[in-house]
Amino acid sequence: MKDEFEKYVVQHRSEIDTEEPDRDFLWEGVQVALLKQKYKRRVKIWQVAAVLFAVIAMGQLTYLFLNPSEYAILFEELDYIKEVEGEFRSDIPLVNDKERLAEILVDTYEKKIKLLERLLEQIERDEMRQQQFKEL
Amino acid sequence: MEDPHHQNLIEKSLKGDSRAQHRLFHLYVKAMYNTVLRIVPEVNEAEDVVQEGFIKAFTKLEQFKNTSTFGAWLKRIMVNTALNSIKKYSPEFTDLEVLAENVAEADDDWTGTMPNPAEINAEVKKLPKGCRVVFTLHLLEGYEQKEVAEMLNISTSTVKTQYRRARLLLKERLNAQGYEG
Repeated sequence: MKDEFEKYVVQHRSEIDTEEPDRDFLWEGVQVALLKQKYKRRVKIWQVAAVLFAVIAMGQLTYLFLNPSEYAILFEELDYIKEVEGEFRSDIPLVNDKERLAEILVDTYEKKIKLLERLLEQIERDEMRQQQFKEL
Repeated sequence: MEDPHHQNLIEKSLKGDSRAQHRLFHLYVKAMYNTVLRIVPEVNEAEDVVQEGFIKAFTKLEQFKNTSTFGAWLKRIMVNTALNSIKKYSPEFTDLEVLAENVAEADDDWTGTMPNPAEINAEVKKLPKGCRVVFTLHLLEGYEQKEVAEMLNISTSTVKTQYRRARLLLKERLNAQGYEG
């Protein structure tokens, strides 16, 4: 059973919330953290694509170009990666902290460079193997 | 059950729509900030808690079942995050058990002019931690005393005594400002 004071407080509950939060500052932190999480998930997809690509590069690259329909799933995966990257870019205007955003973008490009380096290594390794095979 | 517009925002947020998340944030941030600030009175710490609470909520949104309102679900996340924060920085939280015996005998009824809600808020934030948290959770956030006891890991009788202690202190301090309790 509520007494008069309790009833009064409950009736005026919304008026008791008098403090104004710094909305922009708070949202910025939330937004950057959510973008980072979203990006981490997308990096995993990139990693899967990198492995698939490396496998192809090792022995079936010619076959891939001759029969792209055989690799429809891979192409779908690549299209999806392109799509999620586009979504990430559309989120950019919503973030006010440009410095932190720049950090995320630099991180993205570094990962892409690493992926390309890995692909190059695989192709070079494959060429070397083919050369050795011819020499036998 | 949420209204259709609200439900739509929740569903879009679940799919990662930043604009929908931003709108939900705007709808709830003031209430959440004020609740957190009564548990964690230091502004920077309260801001960290509010951000952490929203990040948890948007990340775990698939766990929200429509058995409660989104506001009640979000508030519970904020309260838990705030309680973890004060436990982390103030391990002496168990001092709730140390209570003055005269609390049980004093009169906390309020019969005179009711104070301004803004004054109540200001005085609540100045209360000692134990009774401030109990008063906030029970009267302002509407949790039953048994629930408050479970949330704070203390006995229900301690919750009752701390609640009365908060009422007495508020009455005494608001009286000193000219309100007649």
